[in-house]
Parts: sequence; C-alpha cells; structure tokens
Amino acid sequence: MVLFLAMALGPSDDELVRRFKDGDRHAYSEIVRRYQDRVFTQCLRWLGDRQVAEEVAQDVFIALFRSLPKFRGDSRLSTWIFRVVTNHCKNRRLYRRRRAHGRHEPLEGTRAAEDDEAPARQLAADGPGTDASVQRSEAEQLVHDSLAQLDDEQREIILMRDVQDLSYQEIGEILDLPRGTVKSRIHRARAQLTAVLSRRISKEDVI
Amino acid sequence: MSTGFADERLSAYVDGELDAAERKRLELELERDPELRAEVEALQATQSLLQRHGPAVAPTDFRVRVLEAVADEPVSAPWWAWLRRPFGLPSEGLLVAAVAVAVLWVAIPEPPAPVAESTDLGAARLDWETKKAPPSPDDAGLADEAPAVAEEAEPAPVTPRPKAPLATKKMERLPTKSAEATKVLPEPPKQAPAGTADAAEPKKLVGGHRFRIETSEPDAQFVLQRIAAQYQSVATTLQGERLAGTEFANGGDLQVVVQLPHSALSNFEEDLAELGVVSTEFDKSLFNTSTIPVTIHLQLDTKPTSRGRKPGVDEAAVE
Repeated sequence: MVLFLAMALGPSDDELVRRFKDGDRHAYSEIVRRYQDRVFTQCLRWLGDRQVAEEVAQDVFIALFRSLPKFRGDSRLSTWIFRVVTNHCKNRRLYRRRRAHGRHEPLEGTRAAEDDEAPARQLAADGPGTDASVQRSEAEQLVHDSLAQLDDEQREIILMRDVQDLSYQEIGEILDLPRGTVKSRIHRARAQLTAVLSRRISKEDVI
Repeated sequence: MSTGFADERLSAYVDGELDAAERKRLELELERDPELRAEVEALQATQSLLQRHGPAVAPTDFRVRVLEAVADEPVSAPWWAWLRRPFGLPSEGLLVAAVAVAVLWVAIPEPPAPVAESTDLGAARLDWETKKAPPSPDDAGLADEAPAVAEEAEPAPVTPRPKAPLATKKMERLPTKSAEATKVLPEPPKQAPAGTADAAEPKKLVGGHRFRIETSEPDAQFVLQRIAAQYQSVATTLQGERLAGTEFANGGDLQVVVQLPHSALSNFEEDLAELGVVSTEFDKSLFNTSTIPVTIHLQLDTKPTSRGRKPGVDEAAVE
C-alpha cells in the first residue's frame, strides 16, 4: 500500500523542479502530466474555446519550460503555474478584445459583453478540432454558459476556488490580493453565478 | 434569496474559511434564519455543480505536443549540473559510481566477467534499455523521458540472456534470485489476442506474464500511456528496484512492461481500474505464490473506438 501511495503521489513538485534544473527532461514531462488537466481546464473555462484553450495551455507549458530554471521556489509550483496561466489567459482575452474592437482598449474592469458571450457560442458550436465524440453533458454546458455570463475577474476567481480547489491564501498569492479582498470577490462571483444559474434553470423549466 | 447574498461570510462558510468563532456565530444565525440558510444551500449547490462539472481533461495528445514543442530547446541547466547527473545518474550517482569503480579497481585484478542480468527485473531493465538506447523515429520521444538508469549502461544485447547470479550492486538489493522467479511464476499460456504477432515480439519481451486488457477509454492508447507514465516515474524514483517501460509494436498494438514487487500486485488491478482499465484477465493466483518482483506485459486490446480514430504509432511513441 505504501508503494502504491508512493506511486500515486510520485516525486514532489520541488523534487521535479530540482531534477529539471539539473537537466532532466523527464521531470518536465512529469510536471506537464501532473498539471495539464488543471491548466487546460482553467484556460478552457476562462476562454471558452477549446482550440484557443489548447493553444494557450501549450504556451503556458512552453513558458514554464523556459522559466523553470529561474523558479526560486519562494512559492509553491502550483501557485506559480496558475500565475502564468492567469497572465496568459488575460493576455489572450486582451488580444481578442483588441481584435474585436479595433485598437480600442476597454477600460480596466469593464465588461466586454460581446466578447464574454463568445465562450457560450463557441462551446455550443464546438466544431472541428474538438473531440466530437465527447458529448458535453447538459450540466457541463449549463456550467460553462453560466460562467460565460460572469466578468473576467469573477470567472477567474471562482474557477480558482471551486474548480481548481485553491485556498483563499493561494488565490491571494496568485492574484496578489489580500485575503479580505479574495473573500469578498469569491462571494460576489459565487453569488452572481448562483443568480445566473437560477435564472437559466427556471427559464429552462418554463420552456 | 431576498437579501441578495449580501453577507460575504456565507461563501467563506461554504469554503470552510471562517475561523471557529465566526463559524459558530454564523451557524447560530443559520439556525434561526431560514432565508439565510436557503442562501447557504444555494451557494453550496453552485459550488457543487462547479466541482462536478467544471474540470475538463486535456486532449490525449496534449503532452506529446508540448514535449514536441520544446524538444529542440535546451534545458537551461547550470554548468555544475553535469557533476550531479553524469550520464543521467541522480545526484548521489557520481559518488556511488566512483566508489564502485574504486572497489573494482582495487579488489579485482582481472577485468570482471560481463555482467549478466537474469531476473525478471533484469529482463525488464534490458527491455527498457534496449528501447531507449538506439533512438529511432518511433521511440525518439521516449528516449527523452528515459529514467536516469536507462542511460547508465551500455545497451545490452536483447537475446538471449544467460542465467547468472546478480552482479550489480543495485541488483543485490532484490529479495530473491531468478531461478525462484521462474519456478514460482512460470510463464502462463499466452493470453495476447490473436493477430498480435507474438512471434515478432518475444525478442524484446522476455519473461514475465502477459495479460490482455480492455479499456472503456475511447482512446485506449492513452490509457497505456498513462500507465507507462505512472510507472516510469516510480522507476526513476526507486532507481532499479522497480522498472517500467513501454513497448510499441505491430503498428498500434501496445504493451506496457511493469516490474512490480509482489507486495504491490494485490492492488495492481485496482490501480489499473483507476487508470481507465475496465476488464482484465489477471490470474491473481500467480500473484499469491511469491514474494519476488514480477514482470507484467499488458497487451492492449486495440479495437475500434467510438471516436473512430486510432492514434498512430508515432503519436504514442513520442510519449
């Protein structure tokens, strides 16, 4: 049983980072294996488009490959990875908004309504390049469409908490926010999402 | 709901982030206030929905693509890294190797006889090294991920291996000898599916036990990749006590070679189940008769999947 525990857990993140810094590519491969689903999930749920999410997630891991030698271990590897994910997703959203609105850059914190509808549309039309055999469950579709109704800030933080299961402290480290701010933002995001969900569910019930 | 979720303590309560005093105070309020309680339940329902339906799974070939993308990039190892990992040895490897060389130099006047590895572990190890040593288009990616131990020695001849006492320091840590392994765990009748061209494979897959597995995963190849990845990391960590490798052959039929101690075998099936294997043909009695490591070859039953897509060998081999 101990062996299987060891198998399940494998080497620690710190150990993998150390080995990678020593030139061991296998350690990097293990890091990718360990975090690929979480990184992909964050990108997919944030950006909405599977193809874009794959690209961004891949960019994240390439960036990690290049930056890991400089990783000093002041924070946990997972925290650091999510910081990279956050930056990449924000950059991608910004890029898409700029493309959608010419060179006009929206005010910080304002909601680009048109763009925020994109995830739901894109998921509904999941086209080539995605796995057509995987039928998205109604519940998953509901979750995804509802997340698309939140603004970036809310979606980001509720994903970290409820999907990635990060603690308030970890989220604070990733977003560089004090705990109190994390607490109030999570509550606003979850309350907003709850309201969206109840509207959608009651609407579907009527139909 | 009438309060519109004004109280941000509710989410912190749902998340278990309130301190004991706050939590107790809020619970007293919840007992008295059904509306507040309804809000908590709504928030919990939202959280539960996200937890269950939020996580997604990366595409099966995602890691392969990432590794390909960085394949040409050098790992920025510090200049002293070569001191720590000569020829892929772990950090302690240099010292161990130096001591071993010194002992041989002093104690053995004549060159030692060629090392012959004869246990199942040896077989697995040779299988592994054989695969890793001569890089080919099919296993180029695997070579990248080879455990350190794979780079430690010269590629060994594939067949046949003479039975001989263990000769390496690492092997001495194994609990029993190969003769016992062979006797107690005889090669069972072949269980590989028809058409897998066994005749072409024994060259590499010497010894051990073969089992056919089926999986519910649409991409069965992915299951084997996961199994291989899991045990590769163990092999790397445990340095020669347990080894694992992958075997890709016959244009898509895959095998995983796993070397496990007997103590692990009772849970092996469960472990596979967690990795998506739903059907196995394990003869568990084999696992109850010995305390020695066992080599297992898992033969994938590659039948058409619901996706109608069977990943090519190249895709898997990179893994």
